Amino acid sequence: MTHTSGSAPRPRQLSITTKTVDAVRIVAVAGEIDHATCPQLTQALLTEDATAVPRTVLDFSGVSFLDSSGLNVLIKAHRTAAAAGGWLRLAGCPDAALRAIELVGLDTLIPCHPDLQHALHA
Amino acid sequence: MTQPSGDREAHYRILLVEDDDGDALLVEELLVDTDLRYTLVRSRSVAEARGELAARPFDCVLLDLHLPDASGVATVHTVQETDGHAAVIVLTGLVESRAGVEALAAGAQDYLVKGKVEPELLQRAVRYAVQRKQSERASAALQVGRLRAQENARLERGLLPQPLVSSPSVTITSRYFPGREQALLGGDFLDVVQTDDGQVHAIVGDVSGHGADAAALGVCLRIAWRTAVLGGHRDQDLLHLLERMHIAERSGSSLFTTCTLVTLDPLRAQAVLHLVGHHEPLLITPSGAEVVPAEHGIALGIIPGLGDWPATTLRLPARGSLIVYTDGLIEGYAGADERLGVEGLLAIIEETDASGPGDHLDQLIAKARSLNAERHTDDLAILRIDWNAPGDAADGPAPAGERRGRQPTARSGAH
Repeated sequence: MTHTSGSAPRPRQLSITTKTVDAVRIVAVAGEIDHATCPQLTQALLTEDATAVPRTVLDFSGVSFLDSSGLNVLIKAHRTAAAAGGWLRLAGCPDAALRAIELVGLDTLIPCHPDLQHALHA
Repeated sequence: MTQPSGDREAHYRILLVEDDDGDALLVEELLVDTDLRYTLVRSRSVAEARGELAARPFDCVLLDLHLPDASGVATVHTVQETDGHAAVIVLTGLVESRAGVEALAAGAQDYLVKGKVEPELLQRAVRYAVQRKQSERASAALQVGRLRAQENARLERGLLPQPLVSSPSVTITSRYFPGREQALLGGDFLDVVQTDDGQVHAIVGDVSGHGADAAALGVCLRIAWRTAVLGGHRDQDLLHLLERMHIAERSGSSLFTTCTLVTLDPLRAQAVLHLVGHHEPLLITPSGAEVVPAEHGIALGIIPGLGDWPATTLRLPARGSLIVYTDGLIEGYAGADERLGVEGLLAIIEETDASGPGDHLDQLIAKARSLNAERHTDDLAILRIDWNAPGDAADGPAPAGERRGRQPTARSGAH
């Protein structure tokens, strides 16, 4: 499943692909997560279909930008997963995205792993 | 309604809601005899009418008050709930003209008595009803605009108060811009107060949401901060209070707030910073602009109660400026595919030649917005604190971004 934004003039569109491996949902995100594109991330992480599998790894290796709109979505997704007895983990965050996450202290709430394999086997 | 061009009459989309075939035929024949350009659709019940109104726009609804599934003024309410854009003309019987008046009170634009309608009267009624409805909608939109402007002004007063600073050696300048796509102000806020001991306390904060909820929370936090500071609360104690306020007042559990607290002591020539999920401020001195290296604590509301917010003490030069800002200043684009960032902001500052603190901030913001090429921006609050050590020569070296030999402008309130 791939979502592609068609809204504001963005140099890089947000794309999201989802697959489930061993009862863990892997959501790979690429592009810029901001005010314009975070509704797509919300749809991928927080719709009823999306929350059916409460254990999620977010592969952020393709994310070039992340702002507070995106951080809000991550907090909601973490709380939704925890309430369902699951978890949310982040994998492969590039420096820019990791800086935004660490700056607000979100890494104290959501574990950040260097890559997908580490996140899956943590 | 298709607008007329030149002498051409407007084209009216009319929905006739009438269960009686004879009455419906009468209305259809009357319409044929008018000069109106129209498209007519007929429904036999309120349920059918609702389906039609939901499927396509209409300019005017000719509405019988006695239908199989509804009667009386309730039919007017039902139609208006389904489509508030269409003008409603009620069709009443000869002996029920009072029902027509009641329908007007319920929001219909006009009423016509069956059997007393001529083509010319129907034509005029349709035209006037549609125009009246358009005027009502325009008036309502104007009122909404006025109320929104009033709310903006109220929120702005709450988010951006006048700084309470009396020290002649400290100048406060601030600017605020709401996100370009936001109808209301967002959650950025700032405040400055000077306490009896001469220390100048400042906060610049950013509630993570947008719109009225974030703005309201920003106002709460700013007032809580000012009250707590004037009440003697400092450092960790102050931040725990703010976090408690944040949690109590926030509208959703995912909202968090970042902020920078500054306590500037002009006599000791030092400032104490607390960065609460917020990026570092900039220090501007005669030799240039630089990022202030400072320790970070987590944003308010991320993990309530966990917060440990380290203090960073900064030795101040005899004359200089601190610029504290929210991320709206640096998160816009600086070209086709890259964000401005702190490095880009420093580059802008290097190029800026301003006549005073206010002009300096205006130029920074204008340049950042220009680079962003009119795309959506987040809210933006920016605070500049300038100081001169007591006895420092007025014509001494000027901080970067300010022409030599010119005094900073008189203390500017929040804009």
